[in-house]
Amino acid sequence: MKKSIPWLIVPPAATLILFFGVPLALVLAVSFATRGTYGGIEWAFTLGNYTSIADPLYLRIFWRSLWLAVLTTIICLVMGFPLAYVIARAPQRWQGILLFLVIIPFWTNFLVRTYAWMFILRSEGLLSTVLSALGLTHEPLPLLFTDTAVLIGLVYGYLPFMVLPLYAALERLDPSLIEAAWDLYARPLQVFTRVVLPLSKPGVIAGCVLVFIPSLGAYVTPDLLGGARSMMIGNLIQHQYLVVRDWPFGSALSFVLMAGVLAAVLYYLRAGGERGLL
Amino acid sequence: MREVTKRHGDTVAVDRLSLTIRKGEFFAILGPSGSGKTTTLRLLAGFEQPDSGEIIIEGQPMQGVPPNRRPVNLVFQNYALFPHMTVAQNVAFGLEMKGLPTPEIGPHVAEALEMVRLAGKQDRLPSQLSGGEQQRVALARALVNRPAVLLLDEPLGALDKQLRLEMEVELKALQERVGITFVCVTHDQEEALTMSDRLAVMHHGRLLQIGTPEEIYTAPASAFVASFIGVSNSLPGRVQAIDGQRTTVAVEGIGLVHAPSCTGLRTGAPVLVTIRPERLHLSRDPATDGYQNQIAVRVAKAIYSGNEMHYLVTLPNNLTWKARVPNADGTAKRFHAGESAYLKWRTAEAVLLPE
Repeated sequence: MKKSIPWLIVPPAATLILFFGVPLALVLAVSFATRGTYGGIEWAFTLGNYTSIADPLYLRIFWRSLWLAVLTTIICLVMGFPLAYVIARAPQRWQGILLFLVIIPFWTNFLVRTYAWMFILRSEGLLSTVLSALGLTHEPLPLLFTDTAVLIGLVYGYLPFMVLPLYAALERLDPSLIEAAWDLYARPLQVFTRVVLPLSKPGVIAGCVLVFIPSLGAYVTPDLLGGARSMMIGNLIQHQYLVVRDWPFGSALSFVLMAGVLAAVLYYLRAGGERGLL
Repeated sequence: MREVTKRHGDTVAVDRLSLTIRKGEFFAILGPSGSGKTTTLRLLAGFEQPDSGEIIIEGQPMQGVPPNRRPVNLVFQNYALFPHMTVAQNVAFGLEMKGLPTPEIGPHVAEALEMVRLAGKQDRLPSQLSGGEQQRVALARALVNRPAVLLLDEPLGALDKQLRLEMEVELKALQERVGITFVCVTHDQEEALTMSDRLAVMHHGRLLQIGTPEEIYTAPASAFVASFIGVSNSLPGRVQAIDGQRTTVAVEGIGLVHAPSCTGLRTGAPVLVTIRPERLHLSRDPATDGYQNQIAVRVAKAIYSGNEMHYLVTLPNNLTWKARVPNADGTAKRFHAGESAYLKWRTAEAVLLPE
């Protein structure tokens, strides 16, 4: 008996092994190597790259990245839920248009949009000018190159990734369940916590994972909006590879980031009780 | 309900509806889809607010009162059971939201499940139950709150025929046992007639007739009610003479037929003579033998239907009528398509309706 091979999966599997698996293995190998005197790689095994991450300087960057990613995820969830709910409950012909509006920013290059935020957040920028014109502030707001600027940029960039899965979950939610809860004496807040939220959990989990992972590894946003003062892991890794030319240390950082993301997401999925995704 | 009107955009879903439902009765609202019966139910539940008029439940005006503060509960057409909660959690939901202390909820839930014969299934999820069982959970979830009025939206619509007949009897028995006012919306006239103490027939957002099943069945007030409550045959004509209890009607192409008089008719007025298929008699013998009305017809179709024969007969004026004849007499007396026959009925069996 010949076991049939699903031939259709061979091209994507080969592509993944060749262009994802092999480079990843290389990075792993390099992370145990030693930096050469002039920036090359010397194949002398060491764990030193991993131990030097424990330096408070780097730990602070890890901590800030984690904190910013968590905050970004929470803000996206709080802002995205009502938005997704309104879209899911809108008349059918409006849903397409509203979803389209959510996706429209993707039509422009992310870099260009981040530059636009620089323009808005500058001390003499749009936001500062408008706020002082309204008399809300009396001196220029130094927003650019702060954690707040990075946070604004991340929320802006990843909000659609939260809205889309939430919309998919809420759109499937039978409106009569909401009416049933309402009819059974639940106040609006109870309808939300007891019926809407539990039934949209898969969307909440998917949205949070989709926002948290890229936020944690963000590079462009903190680079342009955070500058040197608000570095995230992504910038640190780039710095090691291209500026310091310490490839082994950059590789070690990459792997720690990856392991961290994996651990965080696994923990989150477990806590959420969503075994279906694992 | 007093003069209640509700518009959806340009269409009037419920048009100046005035209705009094008595405490403790099983009340059915019967109508075709789009008749405004479901909107009426949603107005009672509080999901929609009337544009004008008022709704009073147990002496309390319901103007601006949201569903969660009304003493009514709704059994949804699709049951709307919470899929992430067990049967017991579903049933407990209303009591929990009302703020009943947890130790008191358990016995109430058990009692409600007992009442709908679902004891032992309290830990199942709704998806693990059959359609009939889900329906009973929905009933228990509403009844456990002891509402002043229980609203039912097409409660048996999703069940198969056998189960539906059982549930009709069971629902009625349940209603009598708990003594709660039931208001049941349905498009199925048989369901409405079997279960209700009184029923209202609605069409195009208006109330056409209200009464006991017998009143509505035997004395429909309009041609629509007559045709909606059971299949009815009708004959358009003009009043020829009114003789006390009996009115003679001239029908073009057929001649004179008789029907019991109805109020407010004058000689010459256009009318409909209606008669139910099971009240018609079909015979090969032209003798009148007690039937005051007789028309020569041709059998167009004969359909065997177990205990009855269903005939489609063509009248001399080319109208097609339906007749239902019991099969008890054996095969000898059956008619076949193409045969000539005499259609007979007693005057008292017909209903005269103004057109």
